[in-house]
Order: sequence, then C-alpha cells, then structure tokens
Amino acid sequence: MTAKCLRFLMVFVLVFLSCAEESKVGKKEYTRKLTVKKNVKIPIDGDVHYKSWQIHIKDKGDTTYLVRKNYFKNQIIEYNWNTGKKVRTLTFKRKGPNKVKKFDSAGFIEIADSIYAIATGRSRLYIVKNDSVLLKNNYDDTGKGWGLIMNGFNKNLPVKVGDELFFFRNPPFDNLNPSQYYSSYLLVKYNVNTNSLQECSVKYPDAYKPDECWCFPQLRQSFTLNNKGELIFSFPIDSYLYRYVIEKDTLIKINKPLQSGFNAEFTPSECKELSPEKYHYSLKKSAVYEAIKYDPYRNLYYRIVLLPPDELTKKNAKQKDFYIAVMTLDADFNIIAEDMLPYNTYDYDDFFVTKEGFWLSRNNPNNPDFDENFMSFDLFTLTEK
Amino acid sequence: MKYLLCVLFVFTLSCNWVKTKEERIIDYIGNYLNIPIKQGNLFLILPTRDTCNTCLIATREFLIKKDGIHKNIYLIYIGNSKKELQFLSEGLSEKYNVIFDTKNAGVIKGVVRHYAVLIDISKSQTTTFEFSTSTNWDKMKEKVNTLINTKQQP
Repeated sequence: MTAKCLRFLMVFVLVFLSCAEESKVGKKEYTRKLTVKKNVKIPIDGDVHYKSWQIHIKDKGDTTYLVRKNYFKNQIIEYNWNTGKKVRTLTFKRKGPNKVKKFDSAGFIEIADSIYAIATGRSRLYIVKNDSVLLKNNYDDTGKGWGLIMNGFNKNLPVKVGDELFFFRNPPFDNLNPSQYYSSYLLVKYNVNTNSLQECSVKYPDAYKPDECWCFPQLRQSFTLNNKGELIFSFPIDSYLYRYVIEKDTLIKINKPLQSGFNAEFTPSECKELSPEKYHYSLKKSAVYEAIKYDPYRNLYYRIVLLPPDELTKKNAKQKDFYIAVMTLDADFNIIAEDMLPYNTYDYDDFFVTKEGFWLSRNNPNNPDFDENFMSFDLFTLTEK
Repeated sequence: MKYLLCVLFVFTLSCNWVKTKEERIIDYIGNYLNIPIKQGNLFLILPTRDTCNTCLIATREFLIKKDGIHKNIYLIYIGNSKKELQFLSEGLSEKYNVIFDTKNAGVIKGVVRHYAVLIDISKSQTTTFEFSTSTNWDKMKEKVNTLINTKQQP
C-alpha cells in the first residue's frame, strides 16, 4: 500500500513539476539570447539606499556617469561608473525656501550643468541649481496636490528633446472611475524657454476597457526615447507598443503583435476596494509588460515582462516575486530574443543601459546574495545560442 | 510508532491552530524578539516591504512630534534592509524603544502581513488593533494618539 502510494506520489510530483516548468518555457525559439557577461558591485555609504528608482546615464568622453536618486536623503548622487567612485552629491532641503517637496517619487532630469528640473507627485515643478531652488511652479487645481501628478522611475525616465522636457503623468487618485481614469492624459511636456507646461495626447489604449479595473502597477505606462526622437510607449496589459510622435502630438499603435512567449495572461481585478491580500493576489496572478528601454548604442529595445509566480495564494502573494523575462526587439520592433531570468534574483525596477549593454540590479531581498551595502548589477548582452 | 507520530503531528498542528492572532503576536515579541511583555507596554508593529512608504514617513513625523507619552512604547520595524528601517525610524529612538526585525521574520511567520498592528498590554485586558497604513492612516494616528496619552492605571 505504502509503495503504491509512494509511486503515485512520485508520478504526481513529476507531472506537476513538468507542468509548472512548461509554463515558464517560451514557445518560440530564437537564435540569440541575453546572457550575463559580468557583474559589478559597488560599495555604498550607510545613508545611501541600495535601490534607485531613477538612474540617468551620462557619457563624457570615455567616462560613464551614473546619476542616481537616493530617496533616503533627498539626494541625487553621481557615480563614476568606470571607477565605481562617488563623485558628486546634491542634497535638496526638506524645509525653508529651498525645499523640494516630495522628491521621493519625483522625476528629475539635468537640463544644463548642475541645473535640474524636478517634477513631483504634488503637481510642482522645480528648477534647481545645485541645492538652490531657482524656480517653482505649482500646477495643482484640486487643492490636494493631485492636479498634475508627475513622477519619474527607471521605466519612464524624464527625457529632454530640444527645449522640451517630457514627464510621466499619473491620473488624479480621486477619480478612480475606470472610464474617467482611462481618459486621462499620461504625459506632460515642459518648455524650458517659455516656462510652460502642457498635457500631451497620450491616453490609455483600447486594451483598458471601461468596465475593467486593474491594480496601480498595471496602470503605469513605460516609455523610452529612441534615436529618431520618438517616445516609445509600453502599457502593462497591452502587448502592442505605441509611438508618440512629438511634432504631431500623436500616439500611434505599432502594428506588430509582441506577445510574450511565456503564456502571459492578463486578468483584471474586481472593481471595488480590495483587501491587501486580494490586491496583491490580483496583481501577481496577472502578467505585466513592465517596462520598455531603448539601447541607443545597439539600436535595440529591451522589454521587461513580469509573469505570475508558482503556487500563488492570497496568503503568500505579497512575499512572492514575479518571474522576470526580458524580450529583446530590433529597431523595427521584431522580437529577436526572449529570456527568462533566474527566479528571486533580480530587481526589475532598477536597470539602465550603457555602452556595454543592459544592466539589471541583483539587489533583490529574496536573493541569497542580497547585501544592502552594495549596488550589484549584472550586465546582459545578446549572444548567439 | 507510526500512529504515535501521526498523533504528535496532529497535536502539534492543532496547538498552532488554536493560537489566536494576539497570542502569535505576543509569542513573536516575547520569544523571537526577546522583548519583555509587561503591563503598560505598547507595541506598534510596522511591516515596511511593499507598503506605503509615504505613510510610514508620515507615521515617523507624527511620532516625533508627539508629547505627553505615558507608556513604554516599542516600535517594531519589519523589513529586509537595516538601512531602510533606520531611515524610516530616524529620530524616533529618543522617545521610543525602536526595534528592527531585519529578517522580515514578523511577516514570514505570518504575525503581520500587510497591516500595521498596535498591541496594548494593560492590566485589565490586552487589545490588538490592525490598520492598513495606506487606507486607514488617520484611524491609526487617532488610536495611537489616544493610547500613548492614556495614563496607566495604578
């Protein structure tokens, strides 16, 4: 009886494992793949967070600089990436006439040497030189600071095109009715010469249906600037990419289906306030086209795809990581590779591109190698299989 | 022997099952964190991973400004990054006992999951309050405010 049970159990486990494995295997075979070329570990000070939600890359001659937000201290810290040394720190004040309020989620971009534009989640735009505020504009008409919520994360870094700065925009939180929410403008541009701010014609695509609700991370668009001066948009539940043509102020669907080969399924959540358990479960059970990043050195795009973890329950949903896959696209938006990364290893929020390739942070608290005293990044390059 | 093991297994399970949430919290505080559970102690347990950071920073600002504290208050911050916990609790150790659970054990053990939990050990009864830091922030502030200022019964 026991032997019979054991055999049955073994068969069941094998069948289960093979099914589980199958769901994470891409259907399509590509001739190239992203592989880890090297790892770089840089020690960081006690008051520097291991994670940065916003990293700009600056090339000056042969030297690459990592311009990184440190939200612990309202700081922008510049590292020489070649040497791994910190070279400059800008600290913005939290009080007084030079305060920068709500820097933690703000989008920042350098517009001239040591001059930055900072657009915040409280609808304010600051122009700062070093740690002094030169200009402050308030674009809120709600009284709550939600009129023009502007943020900046690695998946939607602010960009500069000529005299215009483009910032990610979040719809106001007090308008959670899906049809109204989905008709909000999702991009704003600020002209540094005229000091004016305008909403751009970028709205949620048709994949967001008025009767369907999604969790916040499934609503946050990603965009990246390519070498043609276009902003390429990726929306979390839509496999299609979109091209924003700046001169025409138009968002155009790129007519190529770019579904992930890893059984990416999208399930909306219930349209009501969810308990945290239900919220995390609802979020993790659905795939997410998380981010799009252009590689100007190789004329490629990297698209980060998140896939549901195995054995997901309401109880474990918060702790479980998504699986991370990276899709590589050529300049014409053809998929040339799609690779699943090792589980519990990377942080999909923390990435950047340099001359060497695509870097992704290994600072995932579920990674056994996790050490908060280092920034640790793996370099991925495209190789033949 | 087989049956004995089964019985022991079921017994162990049932022992865990009958533990109330409050007992699990007290077990975590007393046995895992080794903090004495005494009357008049107030514990505010704050999970930090994947929660509302703005709310946690607001909690810190509110607690820093608090005066007239009549209780022995422990703030238990749970997460994976000591630096992050230090940042979220900056300046609080002057008025409160600040404890870090940097192994995220409180969450892994299921003592707290998403909510901040307040547990008041008083002579008459021990009470537990659970709050979602993202949606019930005002409620939590109000409750913390009342409990902190309540004088201990002699």
